[in-house]
Order: sequence, then C-alpha cells, then structure tokens
Amino acid sequence: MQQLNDQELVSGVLRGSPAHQTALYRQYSVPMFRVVLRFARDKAEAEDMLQDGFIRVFRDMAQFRGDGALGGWIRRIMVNTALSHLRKQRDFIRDTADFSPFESLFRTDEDFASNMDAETLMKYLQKLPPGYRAVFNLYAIDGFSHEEIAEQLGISIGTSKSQLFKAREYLKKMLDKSFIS
Amino acid sequence: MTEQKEFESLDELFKKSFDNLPATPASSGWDSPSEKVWQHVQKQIKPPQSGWSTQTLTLIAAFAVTVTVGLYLLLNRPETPETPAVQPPVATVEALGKPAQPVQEELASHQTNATETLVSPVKTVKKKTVEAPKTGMEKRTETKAAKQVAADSSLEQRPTVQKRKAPNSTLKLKAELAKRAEEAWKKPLTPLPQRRSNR
Repeated sequence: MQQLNDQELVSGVLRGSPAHQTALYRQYSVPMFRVVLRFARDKAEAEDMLQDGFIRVFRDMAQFRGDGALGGWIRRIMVNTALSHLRKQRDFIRDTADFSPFESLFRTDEDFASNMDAETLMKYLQKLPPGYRAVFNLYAIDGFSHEEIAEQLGISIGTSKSQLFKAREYLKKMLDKSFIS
Repeated sequence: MTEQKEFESLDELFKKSFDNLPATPASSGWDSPSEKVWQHVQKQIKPPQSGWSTQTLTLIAAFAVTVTVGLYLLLNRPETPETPAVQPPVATVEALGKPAQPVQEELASHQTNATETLVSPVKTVKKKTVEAPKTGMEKRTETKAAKQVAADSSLEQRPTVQKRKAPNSTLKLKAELAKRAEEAWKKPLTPLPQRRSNR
C-alpha cells in the first residue's frame, strides 16, 4: 500500500475513514511498538500499551495541530501511555535496590556494541524494575532531563538520579555476565 | 570519571541500537505487534453510526403508537352526564314521573276528601325549586311521600337504571315536570266542606 503523508492521514482519520485509520496504524505500529517495548516488561504488556496508545491517538487526533511531525506527536502519546501503565504498578519506584557492587568488566569498544543486537538489549532492559526502566528510557534514550522525568513520574529529582544510577549498574551487570559467558 | 564514561557509553549503546533499527520489522517478530492489537483498536474507534439505529426507531414507533391510541381514546370516549355521580338522577326522575300510588293511600288515611291534595307531594317536591312557603303538614307529607317514592323507585326501577336515557332527555323531562307542577299549583283549590260539630 502506498504510504500517505501526515496531512492525508490526519484529514482521513478526522473524517472517520477506516482506510486512513488502517493506513495510519500500519505506518506507525512497528516504530511505536519498539518504543513501548522499552517501557514494558514483556511483549504482552507492550501490546496493551500500544493498543491504549493508538486508541488515544485516534480519539485525540483533532488536537494534532500539525506544527510538528505526526510521528513525534504519536510517540509522545505512546510514551505517556506507557508511563501511565507503569504508574499503575504497585512498586513502580523503588529507592533501594539490593544488588551488591560488582567489578566492572564492561567493555565500551565498538566490536562489543555491534555484537549486541537490539533484541538482546531490549530483553535486558525489560528485566529492569519498572522504575529503573522508565527513568533509564526517558533519560538515556528519549533525552529527557531529570527535572522533566521527575515531573512526568511525580518523583523528586534526586529519586530520578538514583533510579538512573541503579538502572545503569544493573544493566552493566547483566551485560558483563553476558559478555563473560 | 571512568565510571561516568562507561555509563555514557552504555546509554549510547542502547540509544544507537534502538534508533538504528531497520524500518521493516525483524523476521523473528520480536518488534512487531500481533494482529489482535489492531482488532481491539478498531473495536474502540468505531465511527458513529449514521442514520437511525434500530433502538431509536423502536422507541419512536412505540411513542407514536402510544400517542395515537391515546388521542383516539380521548376523542372517541362516550359522553358522560354533567351531573355529579353522587346524585342518582334517574331515580329522582323516575320518582317524579310517577304520581306515587302509596302516597295517595297514606293521605287517604288522614283526610277523607282530599283527592286534589294527593298530587301535592309531587308538587311540593318540585316546589323546592320554586321556593314557596310550606306548612308543617305539607312538609311532613312531602318527606314521607318522597321517601316512599324513592324507596319504591329504587326497588322497582333498579333494572331501568341500566336503560337510563341520555342526559339531554332527562333534563327535558325534568323541565317538563317542573312546568306541569307549576301549572298545577296555579289552579285554585276547591274549598273544603265545613265540618259538622260532634256535639
């Protein structure tokens, strides 16, 4: 199917055209699924997030003003939906993590990074506790500041920083084990 | 310092890995959602139904039928008499229509030569409407006669209640009786013969 531009998609969706709705979903479902996968603990949870996110996209399409890319607007909705899913979890933010300090065997050379495929990295990321995962995603991948993260998640800036530190350590540990093995 | 650098590299590793993914999903399917997601989304974003739904049409039809039946019953209901239901007009009319035989008998026991006055109960009943002055004797006879007439008529005429006439004819009959009674009262009574002394 020929890809439609953002304007055509938006106007079609606003008219209630099922063809345009399908086209928008087909065009953005995979990249948005990759976004929510980072916040979810598994594929099933990511699908729930994606579903809720697209429902919000279609429902709030009239609010899209067209001053930015449609993909960016949908991505923001997906991130917000994913965060609201995480906030519902009982122990979303944990300030104390009980893993001991470990000797860093982490290598930063290009060879190592190129050997790690995205699927494996995604699995590591999904193993993080929800709070670590959210803060790491927002800071390291989506580029938010600690102030913005604190505001979005309703936590203090200090908590955001500590969650990021612990997430990084946790990931390092997993990558180390993976590298050694 | 080294740790910070490592962390930055770690961040970069993840960011690069996820940003540089190919446009097409992986063959293993780890980064493509299942089709049920779209099916659920479609269910949630169904466009509003155009036109009238079956439920709305049913409601409108039911309302229309109710209104039609109501109007039909309202416009075609039988005329009810304007007189209040508490008063049994038929019984009164029937009583007035009959010159009441028992009253004659009763009066005969009191008076010997008073055939003309026998009509008086009926007359006095109607006299109420004219509001003429009454004597004590007349009142008593009126009451008794009226009671008797009413009792008789209520016993005898009960089946006729079902066959009562239309209200217009009742009013006409009433008016006619009242007129007749008035005319009867206008006639001068013949003087009674003088009593003989019992000495």
